This record gives sequence, structure tokens and C-alpha cells, in this order.
Amino acid sequence: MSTGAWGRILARRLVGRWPTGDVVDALFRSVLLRPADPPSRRFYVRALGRGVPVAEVVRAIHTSAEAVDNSWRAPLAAGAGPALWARRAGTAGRGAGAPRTGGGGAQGTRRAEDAGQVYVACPPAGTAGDGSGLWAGLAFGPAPDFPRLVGYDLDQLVWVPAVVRQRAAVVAGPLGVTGRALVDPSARSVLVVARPVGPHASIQARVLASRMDPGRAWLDYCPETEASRRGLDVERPLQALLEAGPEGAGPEDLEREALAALALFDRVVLDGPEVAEDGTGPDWALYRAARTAAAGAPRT
Amino acid sequence: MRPGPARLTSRELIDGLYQGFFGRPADEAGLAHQLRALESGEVDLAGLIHALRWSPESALDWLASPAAGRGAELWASRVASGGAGSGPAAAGAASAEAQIYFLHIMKTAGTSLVNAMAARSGPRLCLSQVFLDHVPFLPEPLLQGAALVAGHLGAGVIPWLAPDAKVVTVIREPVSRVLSHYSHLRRDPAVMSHTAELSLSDFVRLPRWRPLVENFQARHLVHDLGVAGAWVDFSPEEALAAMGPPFPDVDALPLQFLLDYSALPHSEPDLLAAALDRLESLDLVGVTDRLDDFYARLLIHWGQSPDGGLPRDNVGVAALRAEEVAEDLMAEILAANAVDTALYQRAQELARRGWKRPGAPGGSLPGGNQEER
Repeated sequence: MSTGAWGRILARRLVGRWPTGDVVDALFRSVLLRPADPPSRRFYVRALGRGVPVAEVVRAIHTSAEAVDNSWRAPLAAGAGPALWARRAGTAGRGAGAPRTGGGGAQGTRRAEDAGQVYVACPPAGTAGDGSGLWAGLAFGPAPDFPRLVGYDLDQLVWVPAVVRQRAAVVAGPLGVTGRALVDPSARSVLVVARPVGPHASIQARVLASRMDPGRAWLDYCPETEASRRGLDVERPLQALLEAGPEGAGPEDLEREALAALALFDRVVLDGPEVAEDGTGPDWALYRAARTAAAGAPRT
Repeated sequence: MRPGPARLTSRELIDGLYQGFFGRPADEAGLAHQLRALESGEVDLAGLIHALRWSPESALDWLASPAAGRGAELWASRVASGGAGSGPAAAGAASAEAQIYFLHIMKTAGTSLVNAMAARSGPRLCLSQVFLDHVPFLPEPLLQGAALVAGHLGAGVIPWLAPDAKVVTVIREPVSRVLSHYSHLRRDPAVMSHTAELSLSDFVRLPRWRPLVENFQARHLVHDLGVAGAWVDFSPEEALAAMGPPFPDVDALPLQFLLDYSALPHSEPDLLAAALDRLESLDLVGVTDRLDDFYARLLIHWGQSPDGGLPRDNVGVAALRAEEVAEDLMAEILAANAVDTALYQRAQELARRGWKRPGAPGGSLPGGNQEER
């Protein structure tokens, strides 16, 4: 490269090559899918001129009400399509399938074997786990891969498009049995059980005993209305309903349902070192059963 | 606060974009890559912003954010429009107002219709201007809960919608539709930037444009790409690239491109039979020359008075008229639209019928429709 070219590059790096107006224009086109209107353009260019960090301007546009509306029309997750395909093609060769066209589609019709999904039902907040169970659960999934939906609660998972949550390498969160309705039906499933807090704890049993239909939320019923009726958190209503457990269920019911739920998972792991202490609540019954299951051979 | 610069360095820009989109600084490798791409001109400003904004990381961040879930808003719109019950006890109860899917075939005057419906939608949630590439990535509560879904999406999306969705479409006299499509392309800067001069003859005869001319309405009624398998069983990008010349290798909306351009597997008689079958199965069919009637029936479905006609938008400015077309070219357009011509003839009859009646194959009468009994 010539000295002059290096000089130009150096000058750009020192004084900048990107006029702030051009940056605002490009942000509007990419995020809001329209040209910047003059007042907005002036507003943001002036803000940058006053020393407002670029990141704040980007965030303001990216999280604006208009951007949220656009996400319903042109969902950001559509950008994940090629990554989903790369995951599949990377594990089993390319050209796995073809659209139904009269010859214009991809050649080669061998259906690829998928890398598989692992579903990890983690303990909800309020237990004495140390997070190690999650990592143990993740180890049963494919190598770090895209996408990994880790730490999602039910309210988040419901809004993840099916093509993403069913093709994700990992779906993990305090989702109990209920969350399985939203993931790949053939996913390997891991239940993580944590040491209960308190002698009569029941939160893990409540989550496992819950049988909701999250796929019909806001279509057949309103989770906020139901959570409000039961005096629960309406900010995360589905998760609140899940953690509240079946309405009217007593400790015996919860224990029975939770123990039955154990059999629905391929593996059971403990969250944190095994402890010998004991209690009488449903979560302790679950913990004792989980200790036995975790020590045994995996159910596959 | 110190005054900011009128220009940003590439590094300032990249750092700001990473922080703004992802809430983290650019990692070393990402920064080096983006800097190199920007400084070498390999990518421009818009390209950089677009790539970061639509990246998988941005998608995942978005999905995890509270903004992605707007169930309460959706439910409120359904309750206000009578499309939902009031609690878990309502599960399984019939909706008072079924979802409408407007299967919008390009250049049938549907844009006027969608805009007018959106303006009259009140609390209803309308999902319009959606492209086929977006459908697999729209959350089910939204796709199934919207009062109106409208787009050039064909019939392959019907399984994604509410099970009781009313599917409606408008069919246009095929020659005027082709001429309108041609005029539309001539006004599209994105098309014209790649095509110095697009004559009507080129539009009708060149393989690059021929799919837009040949029985395009039947195509949209029957062409099913298997959208559910997109990115899972096949790559839309690879399928597009495999089409080969004269089609482009890449497109920002590859599925939409495949719907509009990829070869149909039907012979002409098969296409006619399949398209007519589909037309018969729809809940409401209109024709462009009687759009006011069609609009009125949709408003009645929403319990509204159909006062006044349909306000017209997107009317082709200086659209070519049939009498201006050379005889031989007109003959070719007609020959290329034998199926669409038959479709249009049947659509005229169905348009007079109005909403499909209960018990008829493939459809039922929506609530609120009493006009033609």
C-alpha cells in the first residue's frame, strides 16, 4: 500500500470518516426500515454533536416503540435463518432438502441428521442450587452451538419462534415439564434438581406438577388475568403460574405429581454437591428420588 | 458533557454499534474484522449496521428482551374486537370474530384494501406488509392472534394461521394485472437500477421476468414451497442460488423470491384444476373491478357499516392500457394467462356469491354476515 493510502487511512482514524448524519440515516434505514424524517435526523445529529455516545443513540433507535412494531412485521429473528441452516448443514452435509418447486430448488434430497437438542429443566429461583446442574445438563447437548436458549423463562420462550426454539441446540430454564411442549419433541431432556430450602419446600414440586398449555396463551386465555386472579406476578404471568403450581393442590398431590414427572426426563442431575440433610416437604421427596436417579444409569 | 464530533472514526462507530445493539464492547476479533472491512471498503456504513442489527446475536438478545413478548397488548386487542374469551374457561370457545387472512396477489388492488382495513381496524391487531421470509420467525400468538394477516404470502402459510382463519383473496382480469405489474416494476428503482430499459416485450418474453407474467395469480394460489421446512429441511438461499441464470444468486428475501419465480411443478391442466380447487375453498373471493363489494363484506365481518366505497391507494400512475399493447404481444400475454383467465371467470361468479356458506366444502360463514341470505 502506498504512503498516501496509509496517510488517508490514518487521517480517517484520527478525524473520523463517517459523518454523523450518514450514521443516523443508515440506522433509520436498517432499524426502522424507513428514511430518517428531518426532525428525528436533526435531533439525533445534534445529540451526537453534544457528545451523547453513539451507543445511546443506537440503543434509543433500536429499542424505540417503532422498532418494536417493526419487529412484528419484519422479525429480527429472521436473521437467524442462515445460522440455523449452517448448524444443520455443518453437521450433516449441505443440500439436505429442497423446497417443493418444479426443479428450481436445491439439488440433493438427502435429509440431514440433526445435531439434536437438549432440554434442561432447571430449578426455579428460591432453591439452594449452585448452577452446576445446568452445566452438567448442557454437557448432554451438542458442542457450543447456535442457538442456545439458556436461562429463558416461560414468558420468554413462548415468544421465541417455533423454528428457533425447536432447532436450538439447547433450551434451558426453570420450565418444568410444561416447557417441553414448546421445544423439539425428540429433544433429550434433563431435569436438574436442587437442594430445597427449608423443611417444607415445594417450589420445585409445584413447577413439575404444573401442566399448562403455553402454546395457547393469549389466544385462548390471558395469563395476566389468571395471574392477577391468583395474586401472582403479572409481569411474568406464565412463569408465575408455573411456579404457583396447580390451583388447590396439597403437599401430597404435589409430591405425587413431581415424582411422576421424574420419569418424563431422560436424565436427572443434582444442582450442587449431594447433601444428606432431609426435610418433609414435597421438594425433599423429589430431592431424595433425584439423588437415587442421578446415581443410577441414565434413562435413554 | 464534551461536544461530540461531526464525524466518527470507524472504531468509535463500531464500538457504539456493539454497545447499542448488544450491550457489550466489540470483542477483539470482531473489532478487527469490522475495522478491516470498513476501511477497505469491503462493506459500507449501511452494510455494517445492517449486518450487526440482523445478526444472530442481535436476534437472540431481542428474543430474550421483554419487548419481544407483548401478550397483554395482543389479548387486549382480541378482547376488544370480540375475538377472545375472558379467561382459561374460554379455552376452546368459538371466537366471535375469526381471523382474516388476505391472500394478497400483487397488482390486484389489494394495497388499497389493506390500507383501508387497517384504517378501520380499531383495536384489532393487523399484521400487514409481511413477507414470506418473516413468517417462520413470527411468534405463534401473533400469527394466530392477529385480526388481519395480509401479504403476498400465497396459500402455503395457511397452516400457520389461526385454525378458523377466513381466507380471502381478490382476483384481477389477467391482462390488466400483467400490465400493472409491468408498470410497477418500471417505477421500482431497485429493479431499474439493474435493468437499463425494461420494455413490455422484455417483461413478457425474457425468462427473467416471465414468472411474473405467466398465470401469476394461479401461482400464488397453489405454489407451496413447504415454508415449514425453510432453514430446517432446505436453505432458501441455496435454493435461490440453484435456480441459476437469469435469476440473481442472492436476494434479501429468498423465500419470497422462490414463491414468485421458482418453477411450478404443475402442467397447465393440473395448475388450472389446483387453482380452481383452491379458489372454491376460500371463504371470500373478490374481483378487482368489484372491490367495493369485497371491502363492504369484510367490514360487515368486523361488525362495521360499509358506508362509502374503498379509498384507492397505489393506483398505477400512467399504467399501460391494453389498447396500447401491440397485437402480437397481447396474444402472448393472453396465451400465458389461460389459467388465470379461467380463474378470473370463476372469481367473478364467486364474488357475486359473497361469503362461503356453512357446510360448503372447505369453508364456513363468518359471524356477522347476513347480507346475501
